[in-house]
Amino acid sequence: MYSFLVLLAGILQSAMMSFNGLLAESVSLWGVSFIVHFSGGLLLVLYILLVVREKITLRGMPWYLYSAGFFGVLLVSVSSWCVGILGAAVTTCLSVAGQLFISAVIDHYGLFHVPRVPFSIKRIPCFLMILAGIILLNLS
Amino acid sequence: MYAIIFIAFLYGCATVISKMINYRAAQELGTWNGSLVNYVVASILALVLLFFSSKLQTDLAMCTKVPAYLYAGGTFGVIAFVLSIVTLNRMKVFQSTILLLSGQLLAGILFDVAVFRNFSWIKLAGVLLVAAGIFWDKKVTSSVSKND
Repeated sequence: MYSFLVLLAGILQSAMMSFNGLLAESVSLWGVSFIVHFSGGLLLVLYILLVVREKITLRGMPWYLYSAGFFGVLLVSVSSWCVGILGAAVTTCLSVAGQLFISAVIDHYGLFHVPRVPFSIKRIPCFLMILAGIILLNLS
Repeated sequence: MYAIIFIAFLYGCATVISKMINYRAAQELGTWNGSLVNYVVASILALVLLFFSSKLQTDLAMCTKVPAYLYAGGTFGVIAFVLSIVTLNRMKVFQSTILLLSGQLLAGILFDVAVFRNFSWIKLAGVLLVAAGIFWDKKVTSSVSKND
């Protein structure tokens, strides 16, 4: 049951990317980003007030953590643009490959104060397989 | 084509940095308020950029013309976020990540065919190869951390 819910979450994420990509065909990328964050934020406020029943506070963090919103705008705009050209499946694949790559770099050097985890040689064949897949995507 | 493939890859890199900032924000304000910050700041920032981009007029004109269901993206995003948070303490992170990715790729392939009408066997083979590589890597890294 819970597995199904997580699978559904993945399907919804993909649906979001596709819908945003379609929306970007008529509305500008900043417009898409505003619509997505405004409607999402509104729903999240309702969920916090009605289901979680927590008080809403946005103040009291170090200032640089508010850059989360900057990344939010950038990520939605860029993904909408990429999905419009590459399609949802290819964008997802490339994004996850990028996520694995940067995570390995961050772990290896212990960036952002995370514990250092040296890169394991066992991961190299997996990365080569992903690279081969990306080369195939390039050919299509 | 090479440029956009590289940009989609960079997008993934930026996702991780964004996740780390969101994680820190969640530590400061709690899971729910911490993620709300992202939505509130992003809404304001996007609105400001929209005002200065001179696209405001055309966007307002287009807003009524696009089919209403396209506005559901944000709603889907929040439901996906809530589902992934609520279910996370009931299963392993490895399992959750793989399921999320499977759902994303499955729906991605279907949406590409149904909505964007682009499909090729080479592309499908590429997607499957990347997915297999990711599954394999997740398996390797989760067994490495279990041994520690």
